[in-house]
Amino acid sequence: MEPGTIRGARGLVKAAYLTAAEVTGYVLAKEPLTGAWMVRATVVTSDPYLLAQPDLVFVAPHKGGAWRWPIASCRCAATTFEARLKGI
Amino acid sequence: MSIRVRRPATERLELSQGDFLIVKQDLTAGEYRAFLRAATKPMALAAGGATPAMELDPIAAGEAMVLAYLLDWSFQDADGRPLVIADQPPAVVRAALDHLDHASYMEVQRAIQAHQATTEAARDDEKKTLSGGTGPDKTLTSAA
Repeated sequence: MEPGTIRGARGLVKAAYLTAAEVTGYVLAKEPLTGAWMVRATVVTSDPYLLAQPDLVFVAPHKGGAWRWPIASCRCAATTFEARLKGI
Repeated sequence: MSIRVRRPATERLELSQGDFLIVKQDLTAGEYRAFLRAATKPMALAAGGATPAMELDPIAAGEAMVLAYLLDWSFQDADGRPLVIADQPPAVVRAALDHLDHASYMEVQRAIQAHQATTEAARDDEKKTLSGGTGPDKTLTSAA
């Protein structure tokens, strides 16, 4: 695993408290060329209406709570989810 | 034209001993349907009955309402560690609820039922205000 890469089993894309997508096997890493932080994962469930809302947040639950990163932009296909994160 | 989608909003419900719940202010149509599905069970029909029917399961209905509204709480486990339910899968939230002592669970359920009743009453008032009155609609007489 490259330094600074975070991997997790389950992640959520949230619009306020509503779940826009549930993903599995996420990998959060810095793009070497652009320096942007990206998250890529496999889609379990997705809600097209909520995914089109502003101010989405990527949530990575862990044992004691959850890490949260605001999403700058995202793309959700049938099985793949990709988002550029802001504020890291 | 009117706005038919509410922005997701939360409310904090105060409980005894300084505890609190964070709940959804309203359910969406999809959340409400999921709640109804979880709150009902297939009804046994007499022989020959062809139409499937559902009936409210009073035990499941209480839990379904809690699961539909509950987002977070201040509860701790027996060792004083936060009992994490925010953003957890429904199975984790259900398990946490199942391990509460009975009185605490009932306090949660009663608080959420009261919240639901208050919200519903407020929405009814809102509808009356928007429709411009509480009286019955006037019936238009046909010109023919």
